[in-house]
Amino acid sequence: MGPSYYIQLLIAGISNGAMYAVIAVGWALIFSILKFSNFAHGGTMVCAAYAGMFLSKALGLNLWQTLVLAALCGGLINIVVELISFHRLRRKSKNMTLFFVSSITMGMLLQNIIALKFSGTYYAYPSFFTQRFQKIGNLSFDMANLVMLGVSAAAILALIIVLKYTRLGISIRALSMDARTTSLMGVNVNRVVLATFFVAGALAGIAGVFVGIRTSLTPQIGSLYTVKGFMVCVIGGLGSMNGALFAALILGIVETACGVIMGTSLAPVGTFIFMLVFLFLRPQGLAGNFATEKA
Amino acid sequence: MLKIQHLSVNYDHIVALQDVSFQVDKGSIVSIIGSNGAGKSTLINTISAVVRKKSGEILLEGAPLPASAHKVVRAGVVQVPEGRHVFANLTVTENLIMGGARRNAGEAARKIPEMYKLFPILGERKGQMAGTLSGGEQQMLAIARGLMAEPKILLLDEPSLGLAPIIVNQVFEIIQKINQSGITVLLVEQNASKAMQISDYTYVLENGKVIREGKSADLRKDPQIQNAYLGEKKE
Repeated sequence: MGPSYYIQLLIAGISNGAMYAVIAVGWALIFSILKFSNFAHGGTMVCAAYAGMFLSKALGLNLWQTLVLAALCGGLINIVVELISFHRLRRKSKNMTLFFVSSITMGMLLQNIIALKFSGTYYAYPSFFTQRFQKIGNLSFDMANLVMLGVSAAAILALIIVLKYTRLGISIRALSMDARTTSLMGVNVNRVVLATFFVAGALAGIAGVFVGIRTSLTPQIGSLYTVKGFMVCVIGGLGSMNGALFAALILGIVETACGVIMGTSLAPVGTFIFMLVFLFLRPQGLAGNFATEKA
Repeated sequence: MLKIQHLSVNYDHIVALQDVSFQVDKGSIVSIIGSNGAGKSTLINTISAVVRKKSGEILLEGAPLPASAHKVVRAGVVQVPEGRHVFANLTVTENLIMGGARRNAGEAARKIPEMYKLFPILGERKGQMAGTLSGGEQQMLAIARGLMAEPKILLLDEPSLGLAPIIVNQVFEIIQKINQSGITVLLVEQNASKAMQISDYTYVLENGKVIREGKSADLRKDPQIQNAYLGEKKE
Protein backbone atom coordinates (compact mmCIF):
# COMPACT_ATOMS: atom_id res chain seq x y z
CA MET A 1 0.00 0.00 0.00
CA GLY A 2 1.86 3.01 -1.30
CA PRO A 3 1.15 6.68 -0.75
CA SER A 4 -1.50 6.65 -3.47
CA TYR A 5 -3.62 4.41 -1.30
CA TYR A 6 -3.53 6.89 1.53
CA ILE A 7 -4.30 9.79 -0.77
CA GLN A 8 -7.36 7.93 -2.03
CA LEU A 9 -8.36 7.26 1.55
CA LEU A 10 -7.88 10.88 2.52
CA ILE A 11 -10.02 12.08 -0.38
CA ALA A 12 -12.71 9.56 0.58
CA GLY A 13 -12.55 10.87 4.15
CA ILE A 14 -12.76 14.48 3.05
CA SER A 15 -15.74 13.69 0.80
CA ASN A 16 -17.43 11.97 3.70
CA GLY A 17 -16.66 14.97 5.88
CA ALA A 18 -17.97 17.39 3.25
CA MET A 19 -21.35 15.65 3.43
CA TYR A 20 -21.33 15.98 7.23
CA ALA A 21 -20.41 19.60 6.77
CA VAL A 22 -23.54 20.20 4.69
CA ILE A 23 -25.66 18.79 7.53
CA ALA A 24 -23.72 20.54 10.28
CA VAL A 25 -23.67 23.95 8.64
CA GLY A 26 -27.46 23.86 8.36
CA TRP A 27 -27.61 22.85 11.99
CA ALA A 28 -25.28 25.66 13.04
CA LEU A 29 -27.36 28.14 11.04
CA ILE A 30 -30.50 27.29 12.99
CA PHE A 31 -28.59 27.29 16.26
CA SER A 32 -27.21 30.74 15.56
CA ILE A 33 -30.65 32.31 15.19
CA LEU A 34 -32.66 30.23 17.70
CA LYS A 35 -29.81 29.66 20.14
CA PHE A 36 -31.07 26.14 20.28
CA SER A 37 -30.38 22.93 18.40
CA ASN A 38 -33.10 21.66 16.10
CA PHE A 39 -33.22 17.94 16.76
CA ALA A 40 -35.68 17.46 13.92
CA HIS A 41 -32.86 18.12 11.43
CA GLY A 42 -32.26 14.42 10.75
CA GLY A 43 -35.99 13.87 10.39
CA THR A 44 -36.14 16.50 7.68
CA MET A 45 -33.14 14.91 6.03
CA VAL A 46 -34.60 11.42 5.93
CA CYS A 47 -37.95 12.66 4.58
CA ALA A 48 -36.22 14.64 1.84
CA ALA A 49 -34.02 11.66 1.01
CA TYR A 50 -37.03 9.38 0.55
CA ALA A 51 -38.90 12.05 -1.41
CA GLY A 52 -35.89 12.54 -3.66
CA MET A 53 -35.54 8.81 -4.22
CA PHE A 54 -39.19 8.27 -5.15
CA LEU A 55 -39.36 11.33 -7.36
CA SER A 56 -36.15 10.37 -9.06
CA LYS A 57 -37.43 6.87 -9.78
CA ALA A 58 -40.92 7.95 -10.80
CA LEU A 59 -39.80 10.73 -13.09
CA GLY A 60 -36.55 9.19 -14.28
CA LEU A 61 -34.52 12.16 -13.09
CA ASN A 62 -30.77 12.54 -13.31
CA LEU A 63 -28.63 13.32 -10.28
CA TRP A 64 -28.79 17.10 -10.64
CA GLN A 65 -32.56 17.21 -11.00
CA THR A 66 -32.86 14.87 -8.04
CA LEU A 67 -30.62 17.08 -5.91
CA VAL A 68 -32.65 20.17 -6.74
CA LEU A 69 -35.95 18.46 -5.95
CA ALA A 70 -34.64 16.91 -2.73
CA ALA A 71 -33.30 20.30 -1.65
CA LEU A 72 -36.68 21.85 -2.37
CA CYS A 73 -38.49 19.11 -0.42
CA GLY A 74 -36.05 19.47 2.49
CA GLY A 75 -36.59 23.23 2.55
CA LEU A 76 -40.37 22.92 2.52
CA ILE A 77 -40.43 20.19 5.15
CA ASN A 78 -38.23 22.33 7.38
CA ILE A 79 -40.63 25.24 7.00
CA VAL A 80 -43.42 22.97 8.21
CA VAL A 81 -41.17 21.93 11.11
CA GLU A 82 -40.65 25.55 12.07
CA LEU A 83 -44.33 26.42 11.84
CA ILE A 84 -45.40 23.43 13.92
CA SER A 85 -42.59 23.01 16.44
CA PHE A 86 -41.11 26.43 17.00
CA HIS A 87 -43.28 29.22 15.69
CA ARG A 88 -45.54 29.66 18.69
CA LEU A 89 -42.91 28.53 21.13
CA ARG A 90 -40.52 31.24 20.00
CA ARG A 91 -43.04 33.91 20.88
CA LYS A 92 -44.50 32.44 24.03
CA SER A 93 -41.63 30.81 25.81
CA LYS A 94 -37.97 31.01 26.49
CA ASN A 95 -37.83 27.65 28.22
CA MET A 96 -35.16 25.61 26.48
CA THR A 97 -36.57 22.29 27.61
CA LEU A 98 -39.67 22.97 25.54
CA PHE A 99 -37.61 23.61 22.41
CA PHE A 100 -35.71 20.42 23.06
CA VAL A 101 -38.83 18.30 23.54
CA SER A 102 -40.64 19.93 20.66
CA SER A 103 -37.84 19.43 18.15
CA ILE A 104 -37.02 15.89 19.22
CA THR A 105 -40.69 14.94 19.05
CA MET A 106 -40.95 16.44 15.59
CA GLY A 107 -37.86 14.55 14.47
CA MET A 108 -39.17 11.24 15.79
CA LEU A 109 -42.54 11.94 14.20
CA LEU A 110 -41.01 12.54 10.77
CA GLN A 111 -38.82 9.48 11.05
CA ASN A 112 -41.73 7.31 12.14
CA ILE A 113 -43.98 8.52 9.36
CA ILE A 114 -41.30 7.19 7.02
CA ALA A 115 -40.96 3.98 9.05
CA LEU A 116 -44.72 3.44 9.04
CA LYS A 117 -44.88 3.70 5.29
CA PHE A 118 -41.63 2.24 4.11
CA SER A 119 -39.99 0.12 6.79
CA GLY A 120 -39.16 -3.48 6.06
CA THR A 121 -38.04 -2.67 2.55
CA TYR A 122 -34.60 -1.45 1.69
CA TYR A 123 -34.71 1.32 -0.81
CA ALA A 124 -31.77 2.47 -2.84
CA TYR A 125 -31.25 5.37 -5.16
CA PRO A 126 -30.98 4.54 -8.83
CA SER A 127 -27.36 4.41 -9.92
CA PHE A 128 -26.65 7.80 -11.40
CA PHE A 129 -23.13 7.02 -12.49
CA THR A 130 -22.40 5.01 -15.59
CA GLN A 131 -18.82 4.75 -14.50
CA ARG A 132 -18.27 3.95 -10.85
CA PHE A 133 -14.63 4.88 -10.60
CA GLN A 134 -12.62 7.70 -11.98
CA LYS A 135 -8.91 7.27 -12.57
CA ILE A 136 -6.69 10.30 -12.19
CA GLY A 137 -3.03 9.39 -12.78
CA ASN A 138 -2.51 6.21 -10.84
CA LEU A 139 -5.20 7.13 -8.33
CA SER A 140 -8.69 5.76 -8.53
CA PHE A 141 -11.65 7.56 -6.97
CA ASP A 142 -15.20 6.58 -6.28
CA MET A 143 -17.34 8.78 -8.54
CA ALA A 144 -20.05 9.16 -5.91
CA ASN A 145 -17.46 10.49 -3.47
CA LEU A 146 -16.05 12.96 -5.96
CA VAL A 147 -19.45 14.30 -6.92
CA MET A 148 -20.45 14.47 -3.26
CA LEU A 149 -17.31 16.47 -2.49
CA GLY A 150 -17.94 18.83 -5.39
CA VAL A 151 -21.62 19.38 -4.67
CA SER A 152 -21.06 19.79 -0.93
CA ALA A 153 -18.31 22.32 -1.50
CA ALA A 154 -20.48 24.22 -3.98
CA ALA A 155 -23.45 24.20 -1.60
CA ILE A 156 -21.37 25.53 1.28
CA LEU A 157 -19.75 28.13 -0.93
CA ALA A 158 -23.18 29.26 -2.11
CA LEU A 159 -24.31 29.52 1.52
CA ILE A 160 -21.27 31.61 2.42
CA ILE A 161 -21.94 33.96 -0.50
CA VAL A 162 -25.59 34.32 0.50
CA LEU A 163 -24.66 35.02 4.13
CA LYS A 164 -21.95 37.48 3.27
CA TYR A 165 -23.35 39.47 0.39
CA THR A 166 -27.13 39.32 0.23
CA ARG A 167 -29.63 41.26 2.27
CA LEU A 168 -31.18 38.01 3.45
CA GLY A 169 -27.75 36.84 4.60
CA ILE A 170 -27.03 40.07 6.43
CA SER A 171 -30.47 39.86 8.05
CA ILE A 172 -29.77 36.29 9.17
CA ARG A 173 -26.51 37.40 10.74
CA ALA A 174 -28.17 40.42 12.35
CA LEU A 175 -30.93 38.19 13.69
CA SER A 176 -28.38 35.84 15.23
CA MET A 177 -26.98 38.81 17.18
CA ASP A 178 -30.11 40.68 18.24
CA ALA A 179 -33.63 39.71 17.23
CA ARG A 180 -35.36 42.73 18.71
CA THR A 181 -33.15 45.29 17.04
CA THR A 182 -33.50 43.39 13.77
CA SER A 183 -37.25 43.87 13.95
CA LEU A 184 -36.67 47.56 14.67
CA MET A 185 -34.98 47.73 11.27
CA GLY A 186 -38.30 46.92 9.63
CA VAL A 187 -37.30 43.32 9.06
CA ASN A 188 -40.03 40.73 9.36
CA VAL A 189 -38.17 38.44 11.75
CA ASN A 190 -40.57 35.54 11.28
CA ARG A 191 -39.95 35.57 7.58
CA VAL A 192 -36.18 35.55 8.03
CA VAL A 193 -36.51 32.62 10.45
CA LEU A 194 -38.57 30.73 7.87
CA ALA A 195 -36.04 31.49 5.13
CA THR A 196 -33.26 30.23 7.38
CA PHE A 197 -35.18 27.02 8.01
CA PHE A 198 -35.70 26.64 4.28
CA VAL A 199 -31.98 27.02 3.61
CA ALA A 200 -31.03 24.57 6.37
CA GLY A 201 -33.66 22.10 5.14
CA ALA A 202 -32.43 22.37 1.56
CA LEU A 203 -28.91 21.57 2.72
CA ALA A 204 -30.26 18.59 4.68
CA GLY A 205 -32.05 17.43 1.54
CA ILE A 206 -28.84 17.54 -0.48
CA ALA A 207 -27.01 15.61 2.22
CA GLY A 208 -29.88 13.12 2.32
CA VAL A 209 -29.50 12.29 -1.35
CA PHE A 210 -25.83 11.48 -0.87
CA VAL A 211 -26.52 9.41 2.23
CA GLY A 212 -29.02 7.48 0.10
CA ILE A 213 -26.61 7.06 -2.77
CA ARG A 214 -23.81 5.73 -0.60
CA THR A 215 -25.88 3.43 1.57
CA SER A 216 -29.42 2.19 1.33
CA LEU A 217 -32.23 4.24 2.81
CA THR A 218 -33.69 3.27 6.17
CA PRO A 219 -35.84 5.43 8.45
CA GLN A 220 -33.16 5.17 11.16
CA ILE A 221 -30.71 7.32 9.28
CA GLY A 222 -32.82 10.21 10.58
CA SER A 223 -31.82 9.74 14.20
CA LEU A 224 -28.32 8.58 13.30
CA TYR A 225 -27.57 11.77 11.43
CA THR A 226 -29.28 13.88 14.06
CA VAL A 227 -26.77 12.49 16.53
CA LYS A 228 -23.86 12.97 14.15
CA GLY A 229 -24.93 16.46 13.17
CA PHE A 230 -25.29 17.47 16.79
CA MET A 231 -21.92 15.94 17.64
CA VAL A 232 -20.20 17.80 14.85
CA CYS A 233 -21.74 21.07 16.00
CA VAL A 234 -20.73 20.53 19.61
CA ILE A 235 -17.21 19.65 18.59
CA GLY A 236 -17.06 22.63 16.31
CA GLY A 237 -18.32 24.89 19.07
CA LEU A 238 -22.10 25.34 18.96
CA GLY A 239 -23.27 28.03 16.62
CA SER A 240 -19.89 28.47 14.95
CA MET A 241 -20.05 27.94 11.21
CA ASN A 242 -16.29 27.56 10.71
CA GLY A 243 -16.05 25.26 13.70
CA ALA A 244 -18.79 23.05 12.27
CA LEU A 245 -17.01 22.90 8.91
CA PHE A 246 -13.72 21.77 10.38
CA ALA A 247 -15.32 19.37 12.84
CA ALA A 248 -17.26 17.78 9.98
CA LEU A 249 -14.10 17.23 7.97
CA ILE A 250 -12.38 15.73 10.98
CA LEU A 251 -15.34 13.43 11.62
CA GLY A 252 -15.36 12.34 7.98
CA ILE A 253 -11.69 11.51 7.94
CA VAL A 254 -11.71 9.76 11.32
CA GLU A 255 -14.72 7.71 10.32
CA THR A 256 -13.15 6.64 7.05
CA ALA A 257 -9.91 5.77 8.80
CA CYS A 258 -11.75 3.79 11.47
CA GLY A 259 -13.60 1.96 8.71
CA VAL A 260 -10.31 0.80 7.23
CA ILE A 261 -8.65 -0.03 10.52
CA MET A 262 -11.55 -1.60 12.41
CA GLY A 263 -13.92 -2.63 9.62
CA THR A 264 -17.13 -0.81 8.71
CA SER A 265 -19.28 -2.46 11.37
CA LEU A 266 -17.00 -1.32 14.18
CA ALA A 267 -16.18 2.08 12.67
CA PRO A 268 -18.89 3.99 14.59
CA VAL A 269 -17.40 2.76 17.87
CA GLY A 270 -14.03 4.20 16.92
CA THR A 271 -15.62 7.43 15.78
CA PHE A 272 -17.62 7.92 18.95
CA ILE A 273 -14.60 7.14 21.12
CA PHE A 274 -12.62 9.74 19.19
CA MET A 275 -15.38 12.31 19.74
CA LEU A 276 -15.54 11.58 23.47
CA VAL A 277 -11.80 11.93 23.84
CA PHE A 278 -11.90 15.14 21.86
CA LEU A 279 -14.58 16.64 24.09
CA PHE A 280 -12.70 15.49 27.16
CA LEU A 281 -9.62 17.36 25.99
CA ARG A 282 -11.35 20.40 24.54
CA PRO A 283 -14.85 20.78 25.99
CA GLN A 284 -15.27 24.27 24.53
CA GLY A 285 -15.14 22.88 21.00
CA LEU A 286 -12.91 23.87 18.10
CA ALA A 287 -14.18 27.42 17.85
CA GLY A 288 -13.03 28.11 21.40
CA ASN A 289 -15.79 30.28 22.73
CA PHE A 290 -18.40 27.92 23.99
CA ALA A 291 -21.67 29.45 22.89
CA THR A 292 -24.21 29.37 25.68
CA GLU A 293 -27.72 28.22 25.01
CA LYS A 294 -30.36 30.91 24.90
CA ALA A 295 -30.91 32.32 28.37
CA MET B 1 -48.19 63.86 13.20
CA LEU B 2 -47.90 61.36 16.06
CA LYS B 3 -50.70 61.30 18.57
CA ILE B 4 -50.81 59.17 21.70
CA GLN B 5 -54.16 58.91 23.44
CA HIS B 6 -54.81 57.46 26.88
CA LEU B 7 -52.04 54.93 26.55
CA SER B 8 -51.64 52.37 29.36
CA VAL B 9 -49.10 49.57 29.56
CA ASN B 10 -48.66 46.87 32.18
CA TYR B 11 -45.84 44.43 32.79
CA ASP B 12 -47.77 41.58 34.35
CA HIS B 13 -49.24 43.37 37.36
CA ILE B 14 -46.89 46.31 37.39
CA VAL B 15 -48.27 49.47 35.87
CA ALA B 16 -45.65 50.96 33.56
CA LEU B 17 -47.67 53.64 31.80
CA GLN B 18 -50.98 55.05 32.90
CA ASP B 19 -53.27 57.08 30.70
CA VAL B 20 -50.47 58.84 28.84
CA SER B 21 -51.52 61.29 26.15
CA PHE B 22 -49.34 63.58 24.07
CA GLN B 23 -48.67 64.62 20.54
CA VAL B 24 -45.76 65.39 18.30
CA ASP B 25 -46.36 68.00 15.63
CA LYS B 26 -44.93 67.58 12.19
CA GLY B 27 -41.43 69.04 11.85
CA SER B 28 -40.92 69.57 15.57
CA ILE B 29 -38.64 68.11 18.19
CA VAL B 30 -40.53 66.92 21.23
CA SER B 31 -38.68 65.68 24.27
CA ILE B 32 -39.87 63.43 27.02
CA ILE B 33 -37.86 63.75 30.17
CA GLY B 34 -38.03 61.86 33.40
CA SER B 35 -35.88 59.93 35.82
CA ASN B 36 -34.91 56.29 35.66
CA GLY B 37 -37.93 54.02 35.69
CA ALA B 38 -40.38 56.78 34.81
CA GLY B 39 -41.55 54.75 31.82
CA LYS B 40 -39.70 56.58 29.05
CA SER B 41 -38.30 53.51 27.30
CA THR B 42 -41.56 51.65 27.78
CA LEU B 43 -43.29 54.50 26.01
CA ILE B 44 -40.95 54.42 23.02
CA ASN B 45 -41.03 50.63 22.83
CA THR B 46 -44.81 50.63 22.92
CA ILE B 47 -44.91 53.04 19.98
CA SER B 48 -42.48 50.71 18.17
CA ALA B 49 -44.77 47.76 19.00
CA VAL B 50 -41.99 45.91 20.79
CA VAL B 51 -44.02 46.19 23.98
CA ARG B 52 -47.73 45.51 23.89
CA LYS B 53 -50.12 48.20 25.06
CA LYS B 54 -52.98 47.48 27.42
CA SER B 55 -55.23 50.22 26.18
CA GLY B 56 -55.17 53.51 24.36
CA GLU B 57 -54.37 54.59 20.86
CA ILE B 58 -51.26 55.46 18.91
CA LEU B 59 -52.02 57.38 15.74
CA LEU B 60 -49.70 58.38 12.94
CA GLU B 61 -51.21 61.03 10.70
CA GLY B 62 -54.62 60.00 12.00
CA ALA B 63 -54.27 56.28 11.34
CA PRO B 64 -53.53 53.73 14.08
CA LEU B 65 -50.02 52.25 13.99
CA PRO B 66 -49.77 48.53 13.23
CA ALA B 67 -49.15 46.08 16.07
CA SER B 68 -45.93 44.46 14.85
CA ALA B 69 -42.53 46.07 15.05
CA HIS B 70 -41.46 45.73 11.43
CA LYS B 71 -44.73 47.19 10.16
CA VAL B 72 -44.34 50.22 12.42
CA VAL B 73 -40.98 50.86 10.77
CA ARG B 74 -42.57 50.48 7.35
CA ALA B 75 -45.17 53.05 8.35
CA GLY B 76 -42.30 55.50 8.86
CA VAL B 77 -41.81 55.40 12.63
CA VAL B 78 -38.22 54.43 13.31
CA GLN B 79 -36.56 53.89 16.66
CA VAL B 80 -32.92 54.39 17.57
CA PRO B 81 -32.80 52.14 20.63
CA GLU B 82 -31.31 52.91 24.01
CA GLY B 83 -27.81 51.54 24.36
CA ARG B 84 -27.36 51.88 20.58
CA HIS B 85 -27.63 48.16 19.83
CA VAL B 86 -25.51 48.29 16.71
CA PHE B 87 -24.92 44.84 15.23
CA ALA B 88 -21.45 44.30 16.70
CA ASN B 89 -20.29 41.64 14.26
CA LEU B 90 -21.54 43.38 11.15
CA THR B 91 -19.48 46.05 9.44
CA VAL B 92 -20.55 49.69 9.52
CA THR B 93 -21.82 49.38 5.95
CA GLU B 94 -23.73 46.19 6.73
CA ASN B 95 -25.35 47.94 9.70
CA LEU B 96 -26.52 50.66 7.34
CA ILE B 97 -27.81 48.06 4.88
CA MET B 98 -29.86 46.60 7.73
CA GLY B 99 -31.19 50.06 8.49
CA GLY B 100 -32.44 50.30 4.92
CA ALA B 101 -33.99 46.84 5.02
CA ARG B 102 -37.53 48.14 4.64
CA ARG B 103 -36.70 49.90 1.36
CA ASN B 104 -35.75 48.51 -1.99
CA ALA B 105 -32.11 47.53 -2.27
CA GLY B 106 -31.18 50.07 -4.94
CA GLU B 107 -32.65 53.04 -3.07
CA ALA B 108 -31.03 51.93 0.15
CA ALA B 109 -27.64 51.55 -1.52
CA ARG B 110 -27.84 55.09 -2.89
CA LYS B 111 -28.58 56.40 0.59
CA ILE B 112 -25.40 55.01 2.13
CA PRO B 113 -22.97 57.63 0.68
CA GLU B 114 -25.35 60.30 1.96
CA MET B 115 -24.90 58.91 5.46
CA TYR B 116 -21.14 58.96 5.10
CA LYS B 117 -21.37 62.60 4.15
CA LEU B 118 -23.46 63.38 7.22
CA PHE B 119 -21.20 61.23 9.44
CA PRO B 120 -17.68 61.37 7.94
CA ILE B 121 -16.26 59.25 10.76
CA LEU B 122 -18.49 56.36 9.70
CA GLY B 123 -17.20 56.64 6.14
CA GLU B 124 -13.68 56.26 7.42
CA ARG B 125 -14.66 53.15 9.32
CA LYS B 126 -17.08 51.61 6.85
CA GLY B 127 -15.35 48.23 6.61
CA GLN B 128 -14.84 47.93 10.36
CA MET B 129 -16.96 45.76 12.63
CA ALA B 130 -19.43 47.98 14.48
CA GLY B 131 -18.39 46.42 17.78
CA THR B 132 -14.93 47.96 17.45
CA LEU B 133 -16.26 51.52 17.25
CA SER B 134 -16.16 53.90 20.23
CA GLY B 135 -19.39 54.66 22.09
CA GLY B 136 -19.85 57.97 20.29
CA GLU B 137 -19.23 56.42 16.90
CA GLN B 138 -21.68 53.65 17.69
CA GLN B 139 -24.31 56.24 18.58
CA MET B 140 -23.69 58.00 15.26
CA LEU B 141 -24.02 54.65 13.50
CA ALA B 142 -27.25 53.86 15.33
CA ILE B 143 -28.69 57.22 14.26
CA ALA B 144 -27.44 56.82 10.66
CA ARG B 145 -28.92 53.33 10.59
CA GLY B 146 -32.25 54.77 11.72
CA LEU B 147 -32.12 57.42 9.00
CA MET B 148 -31.55 54.74 6.37
CA ALA B 149 -35.20 53.80 6.75
CA GLU B 150 -36.21 57.35 5.71
CA PRO B 151 -38.38 57.90 8.75
CA LYS B 152 -41.24 60.34 8.95
CA ILE B 153 -40.57 60.45 12.65
CA LEU B 154 -37.43 59.34 14.43
CA LEU B 155 -37.71 58.06 18.00
CA LEU B 156 -34.47 58.52 19.91
CA ASP B 157 -34.13 56.65 23.18
CA GLU B 158 -31.45 58.16 25.43
CA PRO B 159 -28.97 59.08 22.71
CA SER B 160 -26.62 60.70 25.22
CA LEU B 161 -26.38 57.68 27.51
CA GLY B 162 -22.82 56.85 28.50
CA LEU B 163 -21.18 59.40 26.22
CA ALA B 164 -18.56 62.02 27.07
CA PRO B 165 -19.98 65.58 27.29
CA ILE B 166 -18.25 66.75 24.14
CA ILE B 167 -19.69 63.83 22.18
CA VAL B 168 -23.10 64.49 23.67
CA ASN B 169 -22.94 67.98 22.19
CA GLN B 170 -22.11 66.55 18.78
CA VAL B 171 -24.99 64.09 18.98
CA PHE B 172 -27.44 66.83 19.85
CA GLU B 173 -26.17 69.01 17.03
CA ILE B 174 -26.78 66.16 14.66
CA ILE B 175 -30.29 65.66 15.99
CA GLN B 176 -31.01 69.32 15.26
CA LYS B 177 -29.56 68.94 11.79
CA ILE B 178 -31.74 65.92 11.12
CA ASN B 179 -34.77 67.83 12.29
CA GLN B 180 -33.91 70.75 10.01
CA SER B 181 -33.86 68.32 7.09
CA GLY B 182 -37.57 67.78 7.72
CA ILE B 183 -37.68 64.75 9.99
CA THR B 184 -39.87 64.96 13.06
CA VAL B 185 -38.08 63.89 16.24
CA LEU B 186 -39.33 62.38 19.48
CA LEU B 187 -36.50 62.49 21.97
CA VAL B 188 -36.52 60.57 25.20
CA GLU B 189 -33.79 61.72 27.54
CA GLN B 190 -32.55 61.68 31.09
CA ASN B 191 -30.31 64.58 30.24
CA ALA B 192 -33.19 67.01 30.64
CA SER B 193 -31.17 70.16 30.23
CA LYS B 194 -29.82 69.17 26.82
CA ALA B 195 -33.13 67.80 25.67
CA MET B 196 -34.99 70.97 26.55
CA GLN B 197 -32.36 73.10 24.84
CA ILE B 198 -33.02 71.60 21.44
CA SER B 199 -36.69 70.64 21.70
CA ASP B 200 -39.76 72.73 20.97
CA TYR B 201 -42.05 71.06 23.46
CA THR B 202 -41.43 68.90 26.51
CA TYR B 203 -43.44 66.37 28.47
CA VAL B 204 -42.33 65.29 31.92
CA LEU B 205 -42.97 61.68 32.74
CA GLU B 206 -43.01 60.37 36.30
CA ASN B 207 -44.15 56.95 37.54
CA GLY B 208 -45.77 56.23 34.20
CA LYS B 209 -47.78 59.44 34.07
CA VAL B 210 -47.34 62.76 32.30
CA ILE B 211 -47.07 65.20 35.19
CA ARG B 212 -46.08 68.36 33.32
CA GLU B 213 -45.95 69.63 29.79
CA GLY B 214 -45.16 72.87 28.05
CA LYS B 215 -42.94 74.68 25.64
CA SER B 216 -39.38 73.66 26.40
CA ALA B 217 -38.31 77.30 26.77
CA ASP B 218 -41.00 77.88 29.43
CA LEU B 219 -40.36 74.68 31.34
CA ARG B 220 -36.66 75.46 31.56
CA LYS B 221 -37.48 78.57 33.56
CA ASP B 222 -39.88 76.76 35.85
CA PRO B 223 -38.28 76.56 39.33
CA GLN B 224 -39.91 73.22 40.11
CA ILE B 225 -38.50 71.65 36.97
CA GLN B 226 -35.15 73.27 37.61
CA ASN B 227 -35.05 71.73 41.06
CA ALA B 228 -36.15 68.29 40.07
CA TYR B 229 -34.55 67.76 36.70
CA LEU B 230 -31.94 70.40 35.97
CA GLY B 231 -30.11 70.58 39.27
CA GLU B 232 -30.32 74.05 40.82
CA LYS B 233 -27.06 75.56 39.75
CA LYS B 234 -26.50 73.74 36.52
CA GLU B 235 -28.13 76.20 34.18
